[in-house]
Amino acid sequence: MIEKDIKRLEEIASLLEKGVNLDESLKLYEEGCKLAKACLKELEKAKGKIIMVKKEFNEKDEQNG
Amino acid sequence: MKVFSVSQINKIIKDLIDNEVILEDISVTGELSSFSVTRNIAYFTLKENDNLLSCVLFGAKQEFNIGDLVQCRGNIKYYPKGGKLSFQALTIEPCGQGELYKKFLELKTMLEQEGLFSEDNKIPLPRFINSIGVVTSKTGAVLQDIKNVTRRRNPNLDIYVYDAQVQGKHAVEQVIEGITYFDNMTDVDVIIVARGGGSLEDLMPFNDEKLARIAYICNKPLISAVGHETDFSILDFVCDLRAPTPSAAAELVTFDNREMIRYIKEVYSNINYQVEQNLINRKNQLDLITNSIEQYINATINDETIHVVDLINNIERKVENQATGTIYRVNMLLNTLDKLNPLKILKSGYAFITNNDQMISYENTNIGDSIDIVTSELKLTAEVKYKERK
Repeated sequence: MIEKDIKRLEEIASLLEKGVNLDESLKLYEEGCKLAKACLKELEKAKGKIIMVKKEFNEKDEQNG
Repeated sequence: MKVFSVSQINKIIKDLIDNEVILEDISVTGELSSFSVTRNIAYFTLKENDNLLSCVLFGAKQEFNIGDLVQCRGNIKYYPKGGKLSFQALTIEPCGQGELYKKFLELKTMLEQEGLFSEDNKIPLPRFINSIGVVTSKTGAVLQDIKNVTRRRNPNLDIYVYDAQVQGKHAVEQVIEGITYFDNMTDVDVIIVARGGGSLEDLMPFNDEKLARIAYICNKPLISAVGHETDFSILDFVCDLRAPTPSAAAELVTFDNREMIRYIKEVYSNINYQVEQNLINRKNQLDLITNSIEQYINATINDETIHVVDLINNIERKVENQATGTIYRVNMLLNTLDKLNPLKILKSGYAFITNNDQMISYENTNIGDSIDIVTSELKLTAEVKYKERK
């Protein structure tokens, strides 16, 4: 999911590189911003998940040890 | 009667002895009953039953013990100054028992130099011995001593006996057979070669070179328990462990229960420690792996985050650039339009004239029409009084 979003972001960047008209570029910009926000949110969530899993693992470890 | 002074008679005795051919270059054998060395001069007495011969030797190189049988070569001398007759020995050598001892020392030196006595080659005794092979005479008291001690300390110990003569001409051969027999027997943990005390001659089989070499190549721990504590044989040096007496050998191969319990406790705590260590090691390994996975994931997330931020920054910059460009273009157009603004022309003194909101022309204007005039400052209404085509 996130991979797909990043791919699209890269595509948008390369489209803008080639040059499109202002209307088009504004549309692409809006789309890009939305995608970037979603990506960053996903990445933050991944970080949070790691911390959570780690905490859970350590708790189990303490119980066992 | 002949009358002499002391010096005269001493001189006559000296001359008689000095000239007596039979007393020149003689060899005398006897047991040492005294022996002392002062400033390289040995003073000693040879004894045979209740006969004594006092001797002197210049340049003494060797020490001897009282009781040693020795053979001396030299001459009988009379010393007038001390009034003493003495055997002036030129050489002194051990003989009889001394010869045996000399051979013993020679063999000992040779085998020692070959490394047969090296501590590195000694096989340690197993901690717990279940069975022993004893090479000794079945009829001797030694075997009984060994059985008594082992029965008291460890009744479970298996004792195998190889009946061998321990003195006499067949002793060497039979002791060798016994050692080889037990060395090849799987059930035997330790081999003991035992015999009671005896003279050097009695113990000679245990000083045999062939026996020493067999004992050296023996693969099982070999205990030598030959003679008393003070007797040493070649076998004592070459064996893996020397026991001062056969009973001591029996002590060495038995263990008591307390020792066994101590050992089990030791092994138990060792196992505990090992298991604990294993667990700790495994946990550390796991932690390492978990940490590295975590680091890897975090690094990946960070990379992706940077990538996304870069992309969006890039996109933003491009859109901003494009917007800026467009604004510039629009401003340029505005400038151009501004230059074409008709009101600006009015400022230079021109007027804008309309008739009924139509741009004034020859056709739509007649004399008497009201027309609107706009200057930069004024708005007028005027009447047409004259018309002419230009």
